Amino acid sequence: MKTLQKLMMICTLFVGGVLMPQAAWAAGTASNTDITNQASVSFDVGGSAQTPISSNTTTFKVDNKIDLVVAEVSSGYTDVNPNTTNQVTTFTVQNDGNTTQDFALSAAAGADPFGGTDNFDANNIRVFAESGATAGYQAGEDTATYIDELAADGVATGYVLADIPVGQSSGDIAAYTLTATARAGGGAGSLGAVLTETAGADTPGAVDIVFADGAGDTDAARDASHSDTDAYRVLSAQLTVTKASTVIRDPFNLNTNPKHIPGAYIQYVVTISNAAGAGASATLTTISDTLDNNTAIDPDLIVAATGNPESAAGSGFRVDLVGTTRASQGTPQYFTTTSSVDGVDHDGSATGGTVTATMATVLLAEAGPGYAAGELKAGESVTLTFNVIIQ
Amino acid sequence: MKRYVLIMLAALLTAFIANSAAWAQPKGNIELKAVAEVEMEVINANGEKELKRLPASSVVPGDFVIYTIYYANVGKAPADKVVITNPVPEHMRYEDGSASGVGTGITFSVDNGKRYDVPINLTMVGADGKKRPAKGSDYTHIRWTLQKSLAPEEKGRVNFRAQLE
Repeated sequence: MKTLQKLMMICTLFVGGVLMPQAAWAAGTASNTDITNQASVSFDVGGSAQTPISSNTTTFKVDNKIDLVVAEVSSGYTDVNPNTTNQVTTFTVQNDGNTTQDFALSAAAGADPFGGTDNFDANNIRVFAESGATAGYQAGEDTATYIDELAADGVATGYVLADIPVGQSSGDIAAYTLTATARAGGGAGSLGAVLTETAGADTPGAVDIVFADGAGDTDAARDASHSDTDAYRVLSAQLTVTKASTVIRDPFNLNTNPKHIPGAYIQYVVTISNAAGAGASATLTTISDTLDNNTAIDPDLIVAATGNPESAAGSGFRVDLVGTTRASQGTPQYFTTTSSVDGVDHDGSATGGTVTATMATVLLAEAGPGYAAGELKAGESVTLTFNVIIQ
Repeated sequence: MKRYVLIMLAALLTAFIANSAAWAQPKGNIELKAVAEVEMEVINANGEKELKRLPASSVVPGDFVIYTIYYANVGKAPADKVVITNPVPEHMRYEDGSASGVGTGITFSVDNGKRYDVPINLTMVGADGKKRPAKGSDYTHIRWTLQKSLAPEEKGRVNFRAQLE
């Protein structure tokens, strides 16, 4: 009996809500959820257990907490070339509120967040939301200009696109701030209405709107918006082209103090360098050199000391790569003066004429070290060597 | 006539049952009232910041709610072994150390009320399969055991704070 009484004392009645396993609560309990509480009491009177008594139930509704974070993705400059269109900077927009919302996107020129100085404005600034079809900005897919129906805790991607003017030089910076602003959710396919924080007293039994967001780069705390900034940095190649000429052999002095007389060989070395400090690779297209009409191309690229072809008869052009990490191309390489498909060509004129080097053929694409056809990376140079004979 | 006797008998029986119940259990009753409030920072007449308690209704995740349970013996006899139990509401997390109640012993449950104990004796099995001390956020129920009998017309209150998930 005593044990039974103890048991009865312990066994109080729980009328409160059944407890669920505790879920992760980054965004928190969904708005419009009723939070109820009810206590109970057990007691004895005159040594006998009484029927436990329950309290009233307290109930309140969870309000709509608006909270979001915009974060720039790359944590550094977005490098661009001058005269390019649709340059993309990427941001994430996280819904840290407790309700599905739309998010309006807007972009504006901002201050460089990476320590540099914003010194130009890009053109044609646009914002788009990732559709989810293909990761990364896709012109045909990511056409929405707002984030539609982002669930609590959800993360969406927003893009700022800009065109970089042709006149910008290496090191120029243009910063852009993406601001996302929470809008009413609930209607898929259209941007929801502007949200207004519930002013004054709480509306009991209704879902009020509470702005709980922090301040971003250019927006205030508790304004239903958040912002972050990325910056475009212009990187361009710094090319130099030099052409040197040397008399290497004449018919009488041979290679000892040769003179500019008819029949003498002059060696031309055309050097194209991309400075070590350049911000970008250069993609070379063609090198053209018009020869003087009083000279004729040496089809064999003779050696000064012997007068014999340096490589083989008919191989009149030599190309040297300096500083390259291209693995498949040896250096030097020789090209014929007659074939127009091997990359370097002379137009066949008996005297004068034009030398043309097609650099996409001379500098091959390579997947391994990561070269595009014709690419000359910073710190690399390419030289084209050929001889002419004074007529 | 026969019917009259039967009705009499029924009436007597009803009276007897009612009386026997009354004899077995002297009248006793406890009234219990639950209140949920939030603390709001307000500026008072002197321009000072002041925490004011308002009925909980504007609550968003992360906010704290103060629950108060008022109890009173509204019966004619003293109530013994008075135990007040409050489950931590769904979507709420009990704030460590927040439960109070004058003249009560406070224990907690981490297993939906199967077992109650003081915090130091409560453990949970962590994700790594090892036992760890239970935290306030693990508590499922709070229990206040009155240390003395509750005399007729005597009243009191217990309370705790919890955070909306």
